[in-house]
Amino acid sequence: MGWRRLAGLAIVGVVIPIAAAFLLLPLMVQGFVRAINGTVNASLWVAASIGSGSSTWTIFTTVGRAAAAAIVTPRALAAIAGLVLVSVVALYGLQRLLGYEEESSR
Amino acid sequence: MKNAMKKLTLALVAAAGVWAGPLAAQPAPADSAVLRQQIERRFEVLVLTDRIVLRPRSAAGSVRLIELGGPGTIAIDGAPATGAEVKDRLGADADAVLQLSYLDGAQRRALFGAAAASPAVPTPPAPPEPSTVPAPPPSLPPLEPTERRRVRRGDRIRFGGNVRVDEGEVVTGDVVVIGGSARIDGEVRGEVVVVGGSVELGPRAVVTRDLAVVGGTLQRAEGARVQGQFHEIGIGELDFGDLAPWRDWRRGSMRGFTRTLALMSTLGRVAILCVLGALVMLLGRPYVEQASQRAAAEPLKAGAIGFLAQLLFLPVLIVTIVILVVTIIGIPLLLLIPFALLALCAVALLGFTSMAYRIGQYASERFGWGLSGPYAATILGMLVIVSPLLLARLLSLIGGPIVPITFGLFVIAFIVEYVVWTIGFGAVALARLDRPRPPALPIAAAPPVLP
Repeated sequence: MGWRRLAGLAIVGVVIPIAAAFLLLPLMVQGFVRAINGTVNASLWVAASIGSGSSTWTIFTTVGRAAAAAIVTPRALAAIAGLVLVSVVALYGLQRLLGYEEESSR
Repeated sequence: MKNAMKKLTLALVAAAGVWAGPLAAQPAPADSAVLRQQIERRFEVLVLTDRIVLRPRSAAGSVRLIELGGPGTIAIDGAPATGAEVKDRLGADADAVLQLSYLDGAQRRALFGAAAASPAVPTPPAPPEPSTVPAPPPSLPPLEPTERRRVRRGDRIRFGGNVRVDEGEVVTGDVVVIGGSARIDGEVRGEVVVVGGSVELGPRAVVTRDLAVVGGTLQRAEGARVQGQFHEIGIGELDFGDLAPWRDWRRGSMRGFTRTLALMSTLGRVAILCVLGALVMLLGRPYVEQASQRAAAEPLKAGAIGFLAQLLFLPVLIVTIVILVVTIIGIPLLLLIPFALLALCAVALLGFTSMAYRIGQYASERFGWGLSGPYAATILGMLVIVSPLLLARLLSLIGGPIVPITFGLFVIAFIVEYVVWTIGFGAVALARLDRPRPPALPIAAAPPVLP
């Protein structure tokens, strides 16, 4: 039984990362590209804003609004929902593993 | 006298206005480039015989088509529009469109370099005006090409290699090259991003969106077009003159040089890891021993915890950043994120050191080397962990028929290091929950039995 379980875990451990890599790699690369461009544009904009004498909170407000506007798209919301789902699954797993450990150490 | 001065002033102002009118309508060379960039960033431009048609690149707005006829004449979606209507409907783009509308037909054609490309123009195109407009590229790519074009749908992504988009080839997505260079002779309808390499744009190259080069240079032939913005981030191209190895390396013919460099960088990384491991051992030996015991006792559990922690890391980081940015008031707290990442790295290093310590102890006992000191055991463990990678790097210097073996070793090295880091991280988390057990109470001696 132990060997079967181990083999199952090994198969799942190999298949899931490969499938995730095939599915998520293009999305991650696209996100990476957008992040580079966004960072560069934002840096230039912030530098220009500081140079023109804008106040810090004005800059923050503009950045926050721009970020909020960028998030309120179906694609971005779906991506965030996916991230939240992954983190919930991971947290549940950690709670199962570490929670039991904490109980037993008391 | 006072009235005469007033009239003279008014006359001067009026004369200045008469002079300034045409000058303002005719942009300076630098302004022309900016204007063209602004227009092309927002619109697809079609230069016709008697007018210019602008089609917004973004489908988000309500405007579908803008036609610029004679100077000052603008029609939006077929209906003539006043300046106020243009500003109302186009918002931030209105200024650029209005500025473009002030130009006459020849200036517009010169601005977009489309005089030669306009098939319907019966007369020879108006010559560009070098005094007012910078030299335009020779022509726009034809909208309906006569030759057969190879269209590749999707992105082209390459890690550690070069990408070439040949003439006549169309890539509908992005071109992303990391650790290599890109040569574009065709059309890329997305963005071009090259990290750690250079970009060469041929004379007929067209990049519809932005182009970013990080840690490399851009070589752009005359006629190449980048319709978005161009970002170059890095130290530029180092000039070592005619130094032969450098020249050969740049030509890509001296692969041994890069492989030697990779070996040296791996050795440097191993040395840094050894120093950091010794430091961790010096500062937190009890934690290291505790974690190494947990890793040895429950490797699967520690590995599962480490894997789940990795799975949790990226979503939590991204969601935290998003929440902090959107709430505005949390933006200053973004400064704390690098410190949190640093703390996470310290935990990971603690786990890696624990694993190295355990592996070093095991190897020492197994082979009878008698390395009893914790530092020697840790360094030995680290060398054992990275030995597949070091071997792969050494074999890659030879090349030839052992390339598959080298590749296999690289895969093994990656898996081994990943597993060690993962189990180490989980072991630290497990050891964190271990509470110091209270010392055993001395058992009182039994009273002597009376006879």
